[in-house]
This record gives sequence, structure tokens and C-alpha cells, in this order.
Amino acid sequence: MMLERGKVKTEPFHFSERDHYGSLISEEKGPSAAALTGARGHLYAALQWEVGVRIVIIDESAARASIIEEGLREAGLENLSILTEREGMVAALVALEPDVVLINLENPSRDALEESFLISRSLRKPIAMFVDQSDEDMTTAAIDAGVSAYVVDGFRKERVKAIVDLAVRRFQAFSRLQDELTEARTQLAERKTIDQAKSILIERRGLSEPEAYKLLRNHAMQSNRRIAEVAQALITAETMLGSKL
Amino acid sequence: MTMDLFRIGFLPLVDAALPILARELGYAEEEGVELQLVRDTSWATVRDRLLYGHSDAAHLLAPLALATTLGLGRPPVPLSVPFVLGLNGNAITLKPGLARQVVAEGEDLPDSATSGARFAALLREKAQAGKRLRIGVVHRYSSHNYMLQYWLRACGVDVENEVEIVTIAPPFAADALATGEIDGICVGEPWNSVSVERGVGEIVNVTSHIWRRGVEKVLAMPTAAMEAAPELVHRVIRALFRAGEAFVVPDRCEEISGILARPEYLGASAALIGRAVSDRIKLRAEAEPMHIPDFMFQHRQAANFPWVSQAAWLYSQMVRAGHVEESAEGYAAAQKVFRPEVYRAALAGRGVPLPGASAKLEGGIAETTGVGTIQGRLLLSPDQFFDGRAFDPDRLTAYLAGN
Repeated sequence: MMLERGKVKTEPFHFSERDHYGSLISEEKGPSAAALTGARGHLYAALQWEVGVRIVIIDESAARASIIEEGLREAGLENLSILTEREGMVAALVALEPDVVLINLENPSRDALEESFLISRSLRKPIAMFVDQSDEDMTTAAIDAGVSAYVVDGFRKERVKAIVDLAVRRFQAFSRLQDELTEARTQLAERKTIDQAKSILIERRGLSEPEAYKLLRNHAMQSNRRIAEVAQALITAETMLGSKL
Repeated sequence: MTMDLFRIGFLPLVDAALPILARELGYAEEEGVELQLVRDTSWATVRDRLLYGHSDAAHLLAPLALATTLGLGRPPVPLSVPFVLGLNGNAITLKPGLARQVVAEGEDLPDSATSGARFAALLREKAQAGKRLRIGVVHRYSSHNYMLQYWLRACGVDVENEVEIVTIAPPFAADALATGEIDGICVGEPWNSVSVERGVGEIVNVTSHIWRRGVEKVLAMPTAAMEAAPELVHRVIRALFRAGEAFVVPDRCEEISGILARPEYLGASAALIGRAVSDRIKLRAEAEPMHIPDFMFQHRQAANFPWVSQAAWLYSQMVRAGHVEESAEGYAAAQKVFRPEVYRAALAGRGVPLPGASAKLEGGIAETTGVGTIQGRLLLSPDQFFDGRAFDPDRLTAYLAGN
């Protein structure tokens, strides 16, 4: 039975009805399970029927969008588009006719997007990610990770879940990368602060470098503060007392 | 004293003032509440954070609280509004060339019937030429959308065919006007003033001239969460009430604008924010600020009291816009969102005016009138719609039929 785009309802699912995605995917023609083994095999197995699904990734961070795209591609999903610009987004989306829209939770265009879903005559009506009891955990995980998803009516939730799970993992991976980057930057800045404080002590008190460091460290331990904090306090005091620094 | 954490989501707008001031002026702390404010840039995000527990309450568009409860565009989640964060404070800004056809050069703000007639003629002319004007509103389910449509319909505009109404997030208003993405916008402050200052827009009307007492942002909470912690909710309401008292002290305008301007709140110029706080609005880049009484009405005359009839009026406009089909159940559910009894319980015994009734004839006050209270004394000044129609919540169908 052929089903037209836009007329798919949530009736019982049969693989033979899946040809409305354009690229015909049947049970026999799906990617072989062997190609999808490995640590993530289980997830990929859930995705193997989705290779034709049209996914649009919307994110004002092009870097994060690429990381998600890469993850979805690795899983064998090919029909992907990325939108990063706010202006013209709705028109671009309508032209792409997505089955699933993945968007970062904090995207400023979400209100315009939701509006377009409700009014567009040409766009099939995607609705917010499933929020009934059975998917509460998935939705919460997605919101916590900062992902929001819209899915066209009739797209079965088990199939969406695999895609959203993957997006959630990529979002988390991106956040970790960001955290690590921030941490590395902080460490670098702190090292500079400590070096500067050491120079002050070396110059003002005639200490050697190891002695200066030891003094900072002891002071930090006594006052229950971090060395960088003590170093910063010393620099501030030195500046206020009008040194040549 | 142990402090209870309470998080409120908000968008960078002047009418997020009361939650911000409740924190910054120490009122929340005095109530034993550690108020945390969570800033976002879209209402969808504010709503999702509220529904998934990233925030405990939200600074929300009143109609969006109704739409969420009614399940428009998503599965329904019942929300409750125990406190109104303010009335009006929005304006309609058009690109300068178009604005001059609605408000003549050197003219003060005309009344809404006059400006509306000119705007209607302009919209019709453009529509007939096949170039419908595109006007932004901040959300499908926003008072901005409904007030704009109310004004246009009352002035004879065929809203479905003679104008295109689109959604634009408030912080992008000026950019969208500058690039020609939109021809005009109905948005809250400071985003009209930002557009005026950049020379990309001119204010042609303010929503307080469409409805003198139009309900705007509310404090919304999931009903279940609100009812599970009544005592904490009461303390939050008292802190917000005191913030309202501070907001309307004229001498504090500069201090308040300075707080709102901070990068973690609005991240905008204090001088521009001060215009809305003081009801002194600059219509055009080269004009002097003009005093518009009640431009924002954040506290006086029990403005924070959630009148059930306000929710009822919003529902009537949702029906009129085709956003919801009129039904007795839907109407009842929409009205139940506003919770005057929670407001009364929070402020009982504090000498502040508490209306005895929960609903009133909206737009029915032509002269300052005393209203019955269970505590304190309350006088309400005129609250009319520009076209003189009043809304009786008990006569929804007749109102919609235009009788």
C-alpha cells in the first residue's frame, strides 16, 4: 500500500508501508546488521530503517550542528540538512520538507518555527517531541542536554527515539568539549596569575621561585583558598599600593 | 534562616522587572527565598524549561499560559497564574517611511481610531497592489498578536487577507526592521525604543491606547507544582508585590533602569529602559520623549491581581483569531488558569487591597470607580477599549457575534 506524504497516521507499523520516504527502504533492503555492529550496534540497529528520513538540524552554532550531523551520518543517516541563519529559516525549512527537526533548545527562532508548523499549508505539521508518559524520560534527557525536536505526525516514536538519543549524545559530547576548552583556558589564565604573583614575591622579598611558590601555597592552605585566588589577591594589593607593576 | 530556592525563567524585557527587582532589592531574600533568574531568548524555551523543571515559574505571555493549558500545538499541561506581572507596555513600530502615513510629521500620537483608520487604508492599498505588509508579533499566542488584531479588525481591516502577521523574537525586532524582513512589529520595551534609536522604526501606537488595562505578562507555574507548595508560592507573591511597590516610585526610575540594564538581565541601555519605566516614550529618533500615562501599568490599582475576566477576554481573542474553537469546556479551562484565590491568600492580613470579586466587566469603567474588597480600599480608573466595547465574561458568544 502506498501512503502519500502527509497522510501517514499512527496506525500499526508495517515495514512494507515505509516507502513514503522516497528512497524505498524495506526490511530486506535496509543496511545489513553486520555493517552496524560494534559498541553502538544496538542503537544503529534501531536506526537502520531510518536512512531515508529527512532530518533538518537547526543550530546557531555551526560547530555543534556539524558534530550532530557527523554523528547521524556515522549512523547511516544520509538525508541531512543544516540551517544556522535565523533570517529565511522558515522558508528554507518549508522547502526541505523534513520528517524530523532537531534544534538547540535555546535557539531564538523556536517561536517562529513553532508558528510556521501551525500555519504552513505546504509543510506537514511537525509537533513538539512526544511528551506522553512513555517518553517522559527521553524528553527530559533531551531538554537537559539542550535539544528540542519536532516530528511530523505519523512518525513513530520508537524510531524518533533512536534519532533523538543520538542527537542527545552528540550534544553532550559537544558540551564536554566546551567544558574542557573552558577548563584549559582557565588553567592557562591561572598559571599566568600565579607566575605574576611569584614575580612580585621574588622582587619584593628576595625569594627564589620555589620559595615564592611555597609561600603562596602555604598561605592558600591556611586560608582555605585556591593558590590562584591568593595570587590574584596579592596582585590586586600590589596594584592598589601603587607598585610599578 | 534557610533559604528556599525558587527559579523564574524570563525573556529580556522591561516587564520582567518585578521578578528581577524582587531579587535585586532583597524582597525575596526577606521572604526566605533564594530567587534565581533564568534568561532565555524564545518563549518556547521559557515554556519548555518550566514544563521540564529547569525553572519553577516563568515570566510568561498570558495567552501562552492559556495555550499551554489548552494543549494548542502540543500536549496540554495545566498552568496556573497566581500573579499578573503587569499590564500593557507594548507598542507598534513601523518602518519610518510607512510610519509617516499613519502618524504625520510633527504630530503627537493620534488616538487609536484615527491612526487605525490610516493604517487600515495603508494596509489595504498595499494588499491590493499585491504587496501585503508583513507585521511581526512576538508569539502566536501573545497579547501583542491579539491586541494588534483587535485594533486592526475594529478599524475595518480584513486581518486574514490584508496583512501578514509573522513571529519575531523581541531582541531581533530592530534587525528585522532594518533588513526589511518585516515592515512593522508589535513588541515590548525596550525593543521599540531600540528600533527608534537606531532610526529603523517609528512608534505609531501603544497597546495601552488600544485597551487601557490590557493584561500582559504573568507569573505562570505548573498547577500541580503550585498547589504542592502553597506556602513558598505565597512568599514569592509577597516578594513580587513589594517589587511592584518599588517599581512605581518615580524617584527610583533611574535605580530600577540601571538594575534592569545589567548584562545578565536585559543587557540594554539604561536610558532606553528608563523610557518605559517612566512612561516617557520617544516616538521617533528626532522627537522629544512624550509622556504616555499608563504606558506600562505594573502595580497600582491591584494591577497584579489575576482577574478571571482577563483570561476570559484572551480566550475570546484566541477564538476570534481562529487559534481555538469556542467550547464551554475550553472556556472554563482557560478561565481556571487565573487564580485570584491564591493571590488573596498570599496577601491576606497585609493591608493591601484585595478585590472581593474575581471577575469584572472588562473595559466597563468610564470614570474612577470604587470596587468591593475583602481588605483595603480599591479605586479603579478608566479601563476602556479604544472602540468603547466592553467584555462581559458571562456573554462570550454575544461578544464574539459583535452584539
